Amino acid sequence: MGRAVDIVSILLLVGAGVAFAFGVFALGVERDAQALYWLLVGALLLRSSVDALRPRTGSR
Amino acid sequence: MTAPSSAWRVTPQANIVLPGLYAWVATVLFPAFSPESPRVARLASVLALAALVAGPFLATKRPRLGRGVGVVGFAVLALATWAFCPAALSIDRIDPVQACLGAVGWTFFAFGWGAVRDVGLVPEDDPRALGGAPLRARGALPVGAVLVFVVAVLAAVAPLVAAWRVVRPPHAILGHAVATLCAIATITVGVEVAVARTEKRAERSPGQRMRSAARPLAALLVVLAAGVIWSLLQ
Repeated sequence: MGRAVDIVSILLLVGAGVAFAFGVFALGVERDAQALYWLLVGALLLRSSVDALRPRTGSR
Repeated sequence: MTAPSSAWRVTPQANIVLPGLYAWVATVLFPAFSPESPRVARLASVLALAALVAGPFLATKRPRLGRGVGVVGFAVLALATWAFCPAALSIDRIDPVQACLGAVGWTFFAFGWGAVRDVGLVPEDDPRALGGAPLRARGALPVGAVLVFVVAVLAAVAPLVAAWRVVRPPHAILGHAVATLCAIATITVGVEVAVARTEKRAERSPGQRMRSAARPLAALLVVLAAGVIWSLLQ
């Protein structure tokens, strides 16, 4: 099961890269709002990916 | 053992000056000496050249001063040159190939100021070196770390490639800047994902791990749902 979470984390990372690419691509086709949307999605995917691995400390 | 020749002794300085000189010719000389550039731009460019050449030689006696002149002085005077001749640097007048080659020159100039081990020098011969058996690493990379890193690099390349599709000039610069930031963030997180799957961290249950990511995942779901609603409404 732990390995499944590892795979989810890697998939989230790949998803972040794809979302960032969509965001930059949307900037190229003059869809600025869509670009911001995909960049936000990418940032959340990255954060999810790394939070699934980090140890949970008391301060967090 | 024979004394090194004078040509060999100036090799470290040449490693800095030659790429710097190339960068100066490609990116500073031409705009500074274009017909419409003011004299002050030409003066700044010549001073930049003087700083470039003087810095490495000063650094042999006074390293801090030499680096200040050779790195900061050269870069500031190059920037001043560009600031004094903005017309020569307008987008429609810049030759892309020359600009790319100049960027390569600046990169090698930066590497030239780095310190590397001298040829033939054995670190263990240093009297301050600790003896005994080599220290062993206390940890090992988890299985598949290299594969995850390669995946992260490929994911980071995607926005960099997409940035070349942005054709509006102001947005193109923004696109490349955003793509570079995204690539750095993706590789940074990718490295953490690659190396963080150690035994100690794996002691946490999968449920605990997913709960750690609950907040960003919840926010992600909200944003994705909002995106679906937005696309349906349009």
